[in-house]
Amino acid sequence: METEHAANNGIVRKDGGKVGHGGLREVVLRVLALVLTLVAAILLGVDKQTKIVSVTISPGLPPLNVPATAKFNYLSAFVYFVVANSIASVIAAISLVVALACKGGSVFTTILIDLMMVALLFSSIGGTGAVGLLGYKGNSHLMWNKVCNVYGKFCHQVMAATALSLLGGIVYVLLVLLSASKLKRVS
Amino acid sequence: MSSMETEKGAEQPAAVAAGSSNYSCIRADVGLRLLLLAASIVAVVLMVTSKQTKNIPVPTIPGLTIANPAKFDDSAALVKGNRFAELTIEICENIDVLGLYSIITTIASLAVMGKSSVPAKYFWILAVHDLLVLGLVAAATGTAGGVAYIGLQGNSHVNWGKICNVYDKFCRFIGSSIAVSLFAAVVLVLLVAINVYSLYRRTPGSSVW
Repeated sequence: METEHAANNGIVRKDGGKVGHGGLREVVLRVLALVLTLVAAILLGVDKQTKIVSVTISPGLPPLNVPATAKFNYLSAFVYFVVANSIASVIAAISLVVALACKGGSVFTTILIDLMMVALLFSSIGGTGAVGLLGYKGNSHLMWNKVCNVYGKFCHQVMAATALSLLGGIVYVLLVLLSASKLKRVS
Repeated sequence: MSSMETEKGAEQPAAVAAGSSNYSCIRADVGLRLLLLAASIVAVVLMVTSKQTKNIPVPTIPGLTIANPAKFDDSAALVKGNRFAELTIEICENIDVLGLYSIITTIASLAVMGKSSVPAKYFWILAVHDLLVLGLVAAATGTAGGVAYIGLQGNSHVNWGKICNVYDKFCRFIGSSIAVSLFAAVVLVLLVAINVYSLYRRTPGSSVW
């Protein structure tokens, strides 16, 4: 009865009775996680915008035009975001290969790694979101002026990358839940 | 409930062969939850006591030129000096929620600790909720860390001046509470891990890893 139940849900029990992966849902979720985090990392990694800003040095002189560049590595939160998303996409690729080719390693190890990716991704999303919001709104109390009125495209790209990465983080949460629910069903 | 019991009973022989049918880390679970509670209380106390108002003598700041207009003009700095807290209010609220959550789950864990066998469903429910709270706490830590780092270092590219040289005590408190909430996030990861591990050990034929 137990094996029948397990087979219905696509759980492969090997000779040792070990619970493997192999579900279609898991493969789809891992591909999604890979694509989302990779695109988010690339999107922010190539983010660069140069704009001519006119600066008034003193009221007597005509305004001076200087090129100003915004790059992702000017802000450490963005660097952290790119690194975290790259790590998450590499882990997604490796675990996808493991899930497809090796019929799953240990379920517990997989869950543990996915769990760490959840924490990593969500902290990077939090950091990038906060810094992006500061750029978007500014903070008058601290004299931190908004910069998104100057670097419009740059800010939009940051926003898109954060949204994609948030989806990627949610996909990782679903992966943990999926694996844990399989364990619950069998135990 | 009764059907679950009978199913468990039918499964018992195979599980006993594996040697771990009723495996649970409930003691470690309760210990970690108490740790989580302590961490959230410390973080809340740090946040609440971190107010700092400072009188900033603007004209004496060296290097205050027209090109770099007043980083802290007098009135703004005096009246709204401690509004940095607004930026980190999110983490504060999250930590409050975390404290409440840890109290509730500690009580729940203590309630099941006395039982001889803890149902697998219990671990599943705890793992799901711990995972969601982990997402919240990690995001809050990232948010506060990202903003506090700018406060500490400043950013010359976007002309955001550092403020921690002025509000030193405040920044120390915020930094400590970020460290504590990072610790809380690690504890939450461990909590999800041990609950999932309890589930895992109950699967027939599971090895240690």
